[in-house]
Amino acid sequence: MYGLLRVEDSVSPTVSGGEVLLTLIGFTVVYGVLAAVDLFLMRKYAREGTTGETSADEVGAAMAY
Amino acid sequence: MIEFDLNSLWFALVGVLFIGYFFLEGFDFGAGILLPVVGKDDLDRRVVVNTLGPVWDANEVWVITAGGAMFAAFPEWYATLFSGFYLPLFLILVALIVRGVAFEYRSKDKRPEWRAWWDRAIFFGSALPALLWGVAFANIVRGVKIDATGEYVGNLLDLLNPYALFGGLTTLALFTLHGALFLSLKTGGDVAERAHRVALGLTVPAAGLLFGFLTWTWRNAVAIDNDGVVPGAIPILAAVLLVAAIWLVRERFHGWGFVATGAAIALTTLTLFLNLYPRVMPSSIAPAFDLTIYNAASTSTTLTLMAWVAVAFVPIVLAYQAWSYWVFRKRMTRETLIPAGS
Repeated sequence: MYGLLRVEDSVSPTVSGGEVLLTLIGFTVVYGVLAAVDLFLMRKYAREGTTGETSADEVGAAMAY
Repeated sequence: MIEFDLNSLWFALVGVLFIGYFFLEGFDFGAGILLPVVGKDDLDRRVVVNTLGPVWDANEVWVITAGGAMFAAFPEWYATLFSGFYLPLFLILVALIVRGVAFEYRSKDKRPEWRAWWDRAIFFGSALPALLWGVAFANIVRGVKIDATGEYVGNLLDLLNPYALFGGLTTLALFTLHGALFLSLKTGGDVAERAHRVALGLTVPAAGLLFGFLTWTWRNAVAIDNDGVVPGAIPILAAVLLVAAIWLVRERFHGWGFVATGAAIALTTLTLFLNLYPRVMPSSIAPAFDLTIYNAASTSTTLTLMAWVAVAFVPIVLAYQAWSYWVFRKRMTRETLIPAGS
């Protein structure tokens, strides 16, 4: 809340800066890797295009995994 | 002595959400842990992943709701727990992120090494939370260093005490057994047979660990002269059900075995919550510093409003989740994935 609950008031008193930095790096790495994987898949599907045919193991939403 | 007030109602609701979470995600953690054990080739592993595919995310919503209910009803509990257990909860979160993505991505490419990496993610992403939830809850029940201002002043190593680690091993074994029985029920052929054999081997260690953990919990409670409001019948029944599971699995009553492990998980979680009541996070420094359902709660206006929201929406959520299990009730086999003649 502006002027009432300032950022400095809501900082966790027991979590250190080092811990926050560690998790910031951790989340950045995890999401960075996942973003790269995502781009790889998008590129792959874009290149393959649509064949108009659905293979047997793609039939049915329940068996999509 | 249980009071019938709004604070107790919200404590009960948080308890119910964690019971639901451990019952449901318990078996999908177990199935994820068993992926490399019961899945000998890629098709086997797809059988396992397809039993979880339609349900794992809805199972996980229970813990998100539990966290949300804690945040809204008991903000002081939420603040102390999430700041105090910062790094362990970060690990759980990363495991859950990687595991969720793994389920969705493993079939998106046919290269064996691609699938092997996601299989590892499913295994570790399932095993780590199955262990760490037990460690976290054992610490909450045992009491952690909370000072007069209600803040956690211990460190990471304080959380890795023998009782908490024993609690972690217990949930790991219990969830793996629960998952083995789930796979015995939900798959067919060799996968189901391997899951049956895993269950057969796990019932005795799981029953021993649960019995030990509940006894230790009881001894801790007696030592500080505060065991909450646990009627002895509840933990005893939990242990008896796992002993019954030894026989049920041997006789191949997988359905009843699954009910037994599920009920044992529910009763164990109930024991922990009753042991806490009316505290939410006891202090190991002094009882006066305990966080309770009163000093950690929101205002009664908030609790009242949210109680009506919960009354309106919980039945809807339960109904659609039950329906999704009904839709996907059939066994998954290799033949389901590769229909004959194709």
